[in-house]
This record gives sequence, structure tokens and C-alpha cells, in this order.
Amino acid sequence: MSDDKRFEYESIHDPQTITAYLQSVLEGIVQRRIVLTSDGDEIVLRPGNLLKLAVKAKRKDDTSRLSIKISWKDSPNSESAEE
Amino acid sequence: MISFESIEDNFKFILLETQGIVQATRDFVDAPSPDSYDGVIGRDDYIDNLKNVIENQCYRRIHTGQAVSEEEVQQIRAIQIIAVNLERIADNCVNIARQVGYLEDPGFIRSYDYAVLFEKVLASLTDIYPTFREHTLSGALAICKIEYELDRLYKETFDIIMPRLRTGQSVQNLITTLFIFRYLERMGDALLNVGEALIFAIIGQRIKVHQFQALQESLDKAGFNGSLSRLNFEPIWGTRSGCRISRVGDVPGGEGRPQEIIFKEGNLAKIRAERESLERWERLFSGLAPRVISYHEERHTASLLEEFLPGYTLDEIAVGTDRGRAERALTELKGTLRRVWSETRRAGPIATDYVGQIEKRLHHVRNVHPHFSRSEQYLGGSKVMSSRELLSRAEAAERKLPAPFSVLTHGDLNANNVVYNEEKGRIHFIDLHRSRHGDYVQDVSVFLISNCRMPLFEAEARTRLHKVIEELLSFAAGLAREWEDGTFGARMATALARSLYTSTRFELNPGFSKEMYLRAHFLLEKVVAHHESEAPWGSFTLPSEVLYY
Repeated sequence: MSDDKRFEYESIHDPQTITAYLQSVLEGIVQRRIVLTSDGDEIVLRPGNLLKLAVKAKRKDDTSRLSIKISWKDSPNSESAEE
Repeated sequence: MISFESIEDNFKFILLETQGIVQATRDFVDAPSPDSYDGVIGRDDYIDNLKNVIENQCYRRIHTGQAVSEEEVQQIRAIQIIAVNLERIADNCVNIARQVGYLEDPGFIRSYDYAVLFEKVLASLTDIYPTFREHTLSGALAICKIEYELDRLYKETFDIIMPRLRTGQSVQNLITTLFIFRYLERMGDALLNVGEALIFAIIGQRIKVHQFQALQESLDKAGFNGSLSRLNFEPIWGTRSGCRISRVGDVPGGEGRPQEIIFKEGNLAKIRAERESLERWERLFSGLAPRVISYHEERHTASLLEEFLPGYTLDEIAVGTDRGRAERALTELKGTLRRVWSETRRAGPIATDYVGQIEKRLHHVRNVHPHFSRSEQYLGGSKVMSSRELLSRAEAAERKLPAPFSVLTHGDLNANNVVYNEEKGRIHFIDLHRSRHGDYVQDVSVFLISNCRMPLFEAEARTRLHKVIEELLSFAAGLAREWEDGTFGARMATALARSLYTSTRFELNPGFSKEMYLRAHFLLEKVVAHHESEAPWGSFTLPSEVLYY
């Protein structure tokens, strides 16, 4: 089972680099397959036809935050195909 | 309310009882009998009890909320430490008495001179109270010295017993005898603690006896005389490791004015380097660094008396609210740096080792922050370099980035190693043991990060720090242009990464330290990308935002 699989990434970048990373993720959405790897551990996400998109923006004092959340329900087929 | 007198009475009791148990143990070793054995064990229980009573009384006396003078607190702390160590001596007596039971021939031990060790312990125990009462420093030192004596006597016996053991005869007797001497030797360790507690009671500072002796010798060499107990002795916290002394009384050549001195004692190589460096600075820029007053070397340690330079350190000034002072100090610092670097500048490239320094300290960082190292990751097709790979590629970039010239650097130009004397309007450098010819960018980066990493988060304080950072960075960038230093930006990025990454080991605030760690990675990634793009170094732009938090 792929329950509880996690991938975490945190970094500081300039806009160009961040764009490149986001671009890679976007390409994954288009291709319906996003592979995230950390130290050899792989997690594969398969975005379906229905994706929920939540965008939040916040500005407080001297800090701004933009969070983009994309989530979806995996269909049983896509999961077993991966395992 | 517990009175000091009642603590002192119990202190006298425990001293008498400890003398009693040592004497009883000696008598038992001389002529073992069940009665004399019980005499040792029974006394130990009583001493245990007394120690607990004294500890309770000491803590209660200090914590009753009533005004207890600092001096009395010192006396109480000393009594408590001494009581703990007397109880250890009593425990060692019990251990000796138990060992006697393992002697196959109780008379066997008489051919070894245990009596002299007992006598030394007893003599020291007798001296404790008068020393405490009359505050005689020489008495306290004499008690400390017993430890060396007992060590020496133990070693002598050890050297006699070892070859005899090798013959394979009387093994049990020999080993038991050795154990008994070992317990006597351990009493010396406890007496050393007692002596140091007495020094504390007299001069009011916890100081190790070897530091104390080094201080005394350094003062003697410098021509100061008089009793050390008259000195106002104050340890210095933080990076100005060592101790500060302000001497009350005449200092030769000091026109009778009281003078303050920095005393440093410790690692031979470090202190020696500091002395050599101070003398070099004095030759080149008289008065900029502290003058060496005296220097003294032992086998593994050295001690140094140096001039105490009055003023505010630049971190104190940056934190303070006096803007005028901050500006004057910064202007003066820039002038001093320009002068030092201009006058010591040597043409010719010099290699730097910023990435190597990160690698050397990485395990210290990981000890404090186990997660501050990245493994290789992929976000879809985009690869994120692991920290290891990043460092090795940054190292390759650094090899192509020598400093075009070298200057005499401070070597550790933290804001707290720069002193501003407002009265004289001048800057002083302190803690110069890492000073050498090298890249001025290192000094600048260390100074910038020492401001950047100050754990002050109020907007106003941060603005003050940002002002300091901005001004010094633009000063250094200006010099770089003037001196046609085309790799300044990339070297600065690497040097800042080094300071940010390695400084996280001193920072426990999780958010702040993570930010430093991530910014270090960001800088190194920039340098690596630029290097691998084969663009000229002159086109590298330092992302100076990393310095603002």
C-alpha cells in the first residue's frame, strides 16, 4: 500500500529556479504522473480528472505567503497499478 | 531560619568526624579487628547524615528569601562542596576497610608505606577549617597540592607492586594492597576539590587551581606583587574566553592608577598563536590590538596577560539604541579596515578554503541539527542536489576562485571581537589568535553574519542590524571595485554560505537556524550554477538579500 507515503522538500531559491521546479510538477500534472524522489525513496502521484485547487494568499508584517494546494481522490485502479 | 553559625557548627563536626574516620581506618589497617571495623562503618553513616544535614541547611539558608550577602553565599557554597567531598573521603575509608578483609595475611601491607599517605590526608583535613576561617590563600593552595603528593606516592607504590605481581606470587595480597593505595590516592582528588572550594570562598570565583597558579606566575613575571585575594577577579563570558582581572593597587609604570588586565590561560598552541599575533599587530599597527604584558608557558598550556581595552564591542553597539555611537563606530571600523588592508596588501592570488571549513564543521552542525543536510531529491524531472554533492561541486568552483591578493586578516572578525573606544574615537581588535594573511572577504563575511545571526527579532532591532550589514557590505564592494577584485561577489557568496551554515551550530531557534541552513544552500547553489555555466565570475551577482532577516 502506498498509505502514508510522504515527500518533503524545503528550500530557498530565486524566482527562476522556483519556476523550473514548479514547471516540472506542472508537467507531471499534464502527464498524470508526478514522481517525487528523496534519497532513492520514490512516491508516485497520479492526478486524476478531478483535481481540487486551493490557493491561499496572506500578508502579515513583512512576510507574504502564497500556498497552492492541489488534491484529489485516487481511484482504486490507479493505486494498484502502481503497486 | 537557619543561621550561618549552625551550618558552620555542622561543618566543624563533619571535619572532625572525617578526621576521625581516617584515623580509625588507619588504625584498622595497622591492626584489624571486628570492633575497629565497626568503628569505620559506623562513622561513615554518621558522616553521610551530616553531609545531608549540611546540604539541606545550605540550600535552605540561600533560598529562604531573606537577604543573604553575596559573600555569605560564597561561604555557603564552599561549605556545601567541601561537605560533599569529605563524604567521599569517608566512603574511601569504608572501601579501604573492606579491602583489608581480602588480605590473606593482614600484616602483608605493612611492608608498604601507607602510613605516609594517611598522614598527609589527616594533615590536610586539619588545615581545612583554619584556612576557611582565616581566608589564607596559601593554605588553600597547600591543600590542593596534596593531590599531587598523593598521586606521586601512589605511583611509587604502584611501581614497586607491578614487578612483584609479575612473579605470580602473593597475587591476592598485592592486588588488595594496590587497591588500598588507590583509595588513598582518591582521597587526594577529593582534597583537590576541597582546596578549590576554599579558593572560591576566598576570592569569590570558581577557578581551577592550575589556572590560579598560571595567573599567579603571570602576574609575578609581569612584576606585580601583592596578594591575589585583593584582586577583583572576574571571568569573562562568551568568546572572550579567559578571565579578566582588575587589580586594586599600584601597577608598575601605571602611574599608580588601577589597571585592568585580561588573563588568558589554556591550550598552548592557541595561546601561543594569540601572543605571536598580538606582537605582530603591535609592530604593524601599534595600539590597534591589546599589548602583551606577560606570557608564560607550561608543558601543555600557556597563559597570557594582555592589556584590557575599554569600550563597547560592536555587537553591544548594534544592539544598543544610540544611533550616533553606532554610526561613529562603523565609520571608524571602515577606516581601520581600509588602513590595515591597504598597508598589508600583497599582490598575487591566494586560495581560500570556505567549503572545506564547512565540511570540517559539518559534524558539529549535525550534532546540534541532525536534519541539516539534504539528500538527493527529484521533483519530477528536476533534480535537487544533495548537500554532499553540492559541497563537492562548490569546492570545485572555489578552486577557480582564488582571492586576487591577500591582506592581514583578523581571522575571527565577529562583531564581539571589535571594540570601540568612544572617548578616543578608535577601534580595537581583540581575540586575534586566528589572524593571518588571507582573503579580506573572510573577515567581511564573518562580520556580516555575526550581525545577521543576532537573535533579535523586533522590527526596530532588525532595522538597526540591517543598516550595519548594508553599510559594511557596500564598503567592501566599493573596495573590491577599487582594487579590481573581479571574483569578490562569488567569493563573498561562498564565504557567507560558510558562516551561515557553520553558525547554525550555535543557534537553537528552529526557524532561525533552518533559515540560515537553507540560505547557505541557496548561496552555494548559485555559485555552482554560475561556475558550471562557464560565465565569467565578474558577472556573478551576490544575492545580498540573504543577509536580511
